[in-house]
Amino acid sequence: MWGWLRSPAVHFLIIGGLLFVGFDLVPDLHRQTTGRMMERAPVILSSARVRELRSEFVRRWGSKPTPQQWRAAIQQAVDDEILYREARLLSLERDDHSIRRRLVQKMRALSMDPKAGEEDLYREARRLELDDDLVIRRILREKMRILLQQDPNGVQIDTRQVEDYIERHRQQFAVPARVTFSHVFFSASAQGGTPIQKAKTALTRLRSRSILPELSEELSEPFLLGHRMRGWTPSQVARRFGESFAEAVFALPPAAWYGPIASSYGLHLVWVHDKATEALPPLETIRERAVRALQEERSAMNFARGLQRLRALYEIRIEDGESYRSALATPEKGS
Amino acid sequence: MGVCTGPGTPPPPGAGSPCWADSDCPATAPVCGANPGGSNNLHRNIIFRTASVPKLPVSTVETPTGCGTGSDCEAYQGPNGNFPPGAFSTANGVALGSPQIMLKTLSEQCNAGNNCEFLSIPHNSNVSGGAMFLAPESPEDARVRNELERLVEIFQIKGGSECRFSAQHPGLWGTFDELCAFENVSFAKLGGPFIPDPDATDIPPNSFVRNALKSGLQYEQKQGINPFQLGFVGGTDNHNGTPSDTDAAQYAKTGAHGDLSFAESGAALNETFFLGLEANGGGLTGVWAEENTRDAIFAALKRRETFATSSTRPVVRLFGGFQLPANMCKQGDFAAQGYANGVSMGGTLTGAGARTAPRFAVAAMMDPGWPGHPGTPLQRIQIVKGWVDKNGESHEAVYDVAGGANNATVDLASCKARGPGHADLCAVWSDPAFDREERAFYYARVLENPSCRWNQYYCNARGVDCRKPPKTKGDQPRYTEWEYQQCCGSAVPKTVQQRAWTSPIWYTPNHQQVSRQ
Repeated sequence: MWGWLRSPAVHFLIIGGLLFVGFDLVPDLHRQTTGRMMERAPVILSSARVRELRSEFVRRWGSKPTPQQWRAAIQQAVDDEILYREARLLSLERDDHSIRRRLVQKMRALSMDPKAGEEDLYREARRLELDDDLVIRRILREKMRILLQQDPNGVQIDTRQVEDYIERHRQQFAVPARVTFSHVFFSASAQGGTPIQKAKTALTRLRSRSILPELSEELSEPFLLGHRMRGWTPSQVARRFGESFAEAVFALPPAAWYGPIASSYGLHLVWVHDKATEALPPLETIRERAVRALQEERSAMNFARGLQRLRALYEIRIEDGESYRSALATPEKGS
Repeated sequence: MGVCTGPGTPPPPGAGSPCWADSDCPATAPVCGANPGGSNNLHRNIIFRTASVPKLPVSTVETPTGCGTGSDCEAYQGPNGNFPPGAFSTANGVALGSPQIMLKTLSEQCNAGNNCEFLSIPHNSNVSGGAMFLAPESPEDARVRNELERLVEIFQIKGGSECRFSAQHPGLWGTFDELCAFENVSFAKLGGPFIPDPDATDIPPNSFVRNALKSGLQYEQKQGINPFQLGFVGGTDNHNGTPSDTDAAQYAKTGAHGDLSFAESGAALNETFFLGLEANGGGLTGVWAEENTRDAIFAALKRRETFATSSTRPVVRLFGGFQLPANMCKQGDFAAQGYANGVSMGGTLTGAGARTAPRFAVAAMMDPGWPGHPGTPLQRIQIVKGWVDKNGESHEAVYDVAGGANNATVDLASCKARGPGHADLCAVWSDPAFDREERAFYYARVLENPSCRWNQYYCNARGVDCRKPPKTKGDQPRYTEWEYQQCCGSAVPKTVQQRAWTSPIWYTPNHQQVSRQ
């Protein structure tokens, strides 16, 4: 049960989280690091890079970006750069096996010495600064993202918050309605008489002789899925019989014959045995799921906040003439 | 991928060399392929019965199925010198292409835990370079495969694996069945090059499931065990985390492999890109299970009571038996009759009652679709039979058993179906050419009427009008020259007949003794 504690990912998160909390709780250190040790160079999107972003967008989506899309694309490019740089400041590339493997692989391709050991290749690759490429950037951004998602004050979730989350996302947790019904079927593709006449005659017979579903099968034409559907949800019924059929069946009162109702296959006379309405299951059975979802929601908020703070540490220059001011919705530097 | 420096040498011709690691790699340097399982795509899907699984995944480094990371390959002629040139083995002489080590290792680790059980499902064999269904090295190899590989993926986004037909090369892939010209891709291997107008030396016939089923019967006739007794499943393999998202109208939007660049029209419409024009929305698996639980579904998969579809959601059921009532389609209790008087799809009939030909009862319902997107009516049900004669030669035949060829069409501009079709079909059929001495398999193939292929939906959405090249006068068209060219060209068809395949039912003659020649 506690096996996950041994996972390196968990260690990474805990240590990373502590580091992060450390930075937050020690204001002096924070000031010191931002002020002196970590003077940050401005993030500059050159006009060439901006042009590239624009043509990338057009190539990918087949049209020019709307102003809103363009703001988002610029913001994304800036954020990617900031996350990467912050990860480098924290030396997150150290002892990273994926990055190491990639560097060794790249260096092996370049190296003249086929017998060079892994360690040598790794060092040489770092010396040659081969460690700035798309893949490594992606890995580092992702690590930084995980760091920022951590809650500096630790995660505390109480029942009230969980209930509140479930209420806000009722659709995700509710158990769907279900129906059990029997039907007498008349195929649209069968020969001899239109199905509507046959269905109406059969309905009269079923009703006048009070024929129960158990004895109704002989009036029906064959139906591959059988004559009784047990505990089907609205979407199951809709997927197989069609939306309007599903709506009609769920609206029927139980224990009587109704119809004919049309599906993609023909006409059906329907007897509803039992219906259950949509309901939230007991809290204990969904608590774990809700807690996880709530944590994800908070992670996203933490990340957004953290990123906001980091953006403020950088001077951001976008060499895009007119659109400079409108391109970024973020506050000015230093706010 | 991988680090190759030698000059690119095309793969050696000949069916089924499992070690063409990479088209950029010299054929003499098989170790250069860095793709796990090799770029011959000897990949398997492993499905576990319960949450009880081995602590770590079985690694392709320690148990290679193809040349690649960790496997030092050596040229290999096979136990009887009968392997094709270019075949390789590991240093200790196990043919690559065989999943035997992987399956045995997984079995050992799985058995170490309680309640651990798994199925291994070969997939995308159409791009296996013919290596997926190499003859087993030994009856033991065959036994392991028969036990643990009970299903095969017959359809996915990177094409169909049932069979292959091309009007330019009729019969080259072991069949004259024209309906096999369906979602055939022009790639021999995963990550391999696009091959314009490939022939059987480019794409070996034993990349295809129907041929594997036949060679399985041949092997069984000699060795007493069938290495390729495979039921059918379909999948997407789109790596998007969107299982069952196979709708043709959506494919160009959702794409594959989480690759946003797919949304670039250039990539989606490019037939030489392996996820481009020749790819499709992917397939689905249906199972006949007692209930919708993991255990019941696993049990159904294990007994091969499954069917696959090429994306849509028709339903089909097949039973075979010597005692099936001839009027099963007229009776309401199709399944009850099937179980009581025969075997379900995935099962085996033995010759105990083989005085007359067995009957096969097959019933299908069309995909009902959903509001604004009606399903396509059914055109026909076919039975595909494969068998091995007394001389060990394999044969196949395809019979229309319900419905039949019709003049239904689809309107290309609206993608609406036109013409006659069936909401459901049912037939009881008996084999007119049955020979009680011959091993055989029978599976049902259900064809829908024609519908738009995904590229047609895409081109319609882009407003491409094939009568109007983008540079003609008047207002500027919304589409590019490239889109016009690809949408209006003939690299792939504009319509397809979506379909479903039931798992086969096998027939085994009564005498079980092994006849060795």
